[in-house]
Amino acid sequence: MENSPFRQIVSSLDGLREILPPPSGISVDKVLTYIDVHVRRFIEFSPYVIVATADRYGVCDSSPRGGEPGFVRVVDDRHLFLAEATGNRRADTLGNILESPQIGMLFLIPGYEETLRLNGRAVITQDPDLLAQAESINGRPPLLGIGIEVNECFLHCAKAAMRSSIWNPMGWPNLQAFPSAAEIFRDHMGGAIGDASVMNIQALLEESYTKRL
Amino acid sequence: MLEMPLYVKVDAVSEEANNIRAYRLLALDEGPLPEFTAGAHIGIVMPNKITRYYSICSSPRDRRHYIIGVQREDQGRGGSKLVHDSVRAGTMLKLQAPRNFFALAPSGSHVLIAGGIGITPILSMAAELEARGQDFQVIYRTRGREFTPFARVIDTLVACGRAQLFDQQDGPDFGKLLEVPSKDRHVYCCGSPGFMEHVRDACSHWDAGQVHFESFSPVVAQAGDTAFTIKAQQRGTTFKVAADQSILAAIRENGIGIDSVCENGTCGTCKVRYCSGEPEHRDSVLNPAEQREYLMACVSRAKSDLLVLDI
Repeated sequence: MENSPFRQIVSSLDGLREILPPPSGISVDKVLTYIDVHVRRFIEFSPYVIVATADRYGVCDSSPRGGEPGFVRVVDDRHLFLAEATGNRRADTLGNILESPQIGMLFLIPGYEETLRLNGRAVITQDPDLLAQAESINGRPPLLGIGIEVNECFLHCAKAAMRSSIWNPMGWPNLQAFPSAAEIFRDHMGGAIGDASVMNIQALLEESYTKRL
Repeated sequence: MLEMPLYVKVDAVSEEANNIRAYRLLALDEGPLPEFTAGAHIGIVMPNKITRYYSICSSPRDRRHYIIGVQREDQGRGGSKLVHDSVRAGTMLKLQAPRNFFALAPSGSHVLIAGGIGITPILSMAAELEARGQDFQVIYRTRGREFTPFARVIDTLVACGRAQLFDQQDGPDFGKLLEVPSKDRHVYCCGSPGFMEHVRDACSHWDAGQVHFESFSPVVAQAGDTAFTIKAQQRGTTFKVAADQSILAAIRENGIGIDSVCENGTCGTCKVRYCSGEPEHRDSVLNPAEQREYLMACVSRAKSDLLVLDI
């Protein structure tokens, strides 16, 4: 990194382990290589997952997916299926999977402080049976899906959720002090959208959020 | 999470008295809330990770809502101020589901004694006893009308001869009121630490199983508290408990894990067996027989210089 503001870079595993001792037995032993009853239930309860992928150069991306609880389907004790909405058609995730099959998923259940981490290998599939069973998106069956083969999965502890109060409404910020998405888009895109007024962008977003959800 | 939280939304807030507000809480789906028994409390999980406990004052037979009363304590630990300042109709709260360390006896007659904001559990108990058709009497002492929450409910209880209201100055005479214990009679008391101490003195000759106290006040060091030494029998270690430190805090400081909930000697969670030494019991949960074997680590101290605990 040129002109990096960072000093005292730790650049070897030995160096890291001097500062951070190896993990405890629990942190290692909790890892499963298959989907057990608890992992299955977690996925069935989860309406929201953050999907991490990388391209052939290791350039990373993470992107959220959401649906009814259980929208990610447990196919069997080694496989999941995630139907793809067309989204913004950037296809960052799908493009990455074509270049590198590794995928990391972080499943959330609102109000539940532990999260489920699941890592594996992904393919893009048009399997007609799986697509037919998937939740329709915007009134139409999905065109594509991601098939995931599980390598490891485990429950991640609640500390981050507890520290952040993310599931405690009393700890939520006052959003009146935060700009709306329309204001942020206006500033990020200059004049490139509609007549570039916040009201116009708000109307476009509302249309997208209601008619093409 | 160790215990599943209960999410609710605040449906209505009312000014009940000087510095006291009532909050009506509904399930997010507006369906029935989890069951509770009269005298139970919920915990509001605050953003700073501490939990503050408030008695439910509505009837346990009505699970459409929980009503709690919160008195703003400007000198307090901040929980009640945060509730008053930030909780409005529509606010969602993360709760610890109801628990009860102040339950009614299943039968007999009941004397319910409250001081100030301590009326909150007493109201759910009165509603339950009314529904059961058991004999009860509410004795309520406040600092006058503008400091009396839930005045309409209390007026109704007074009107049907179920409650007596006292101003701080005019009694009642607890010594006289509680002079004669009776086999099937139970006394329940909730109020400030000083008020409860006063009532406790007045029924010191009662069977411990017939008197019940509920306290939400933090434990405060008392004048004359001194340091002493703890020996952890199972581990063979010895450590000091400072004059202003609890046994519980000292145990934890020395890396011994021990569960606690109320931390004011009410719930019984941090019960520890002692092997030798003479404890000074300050709890309101153990009976005398239990006190010969156990102590509550959150509030108890030692009369002897050394206390040997079975930990």
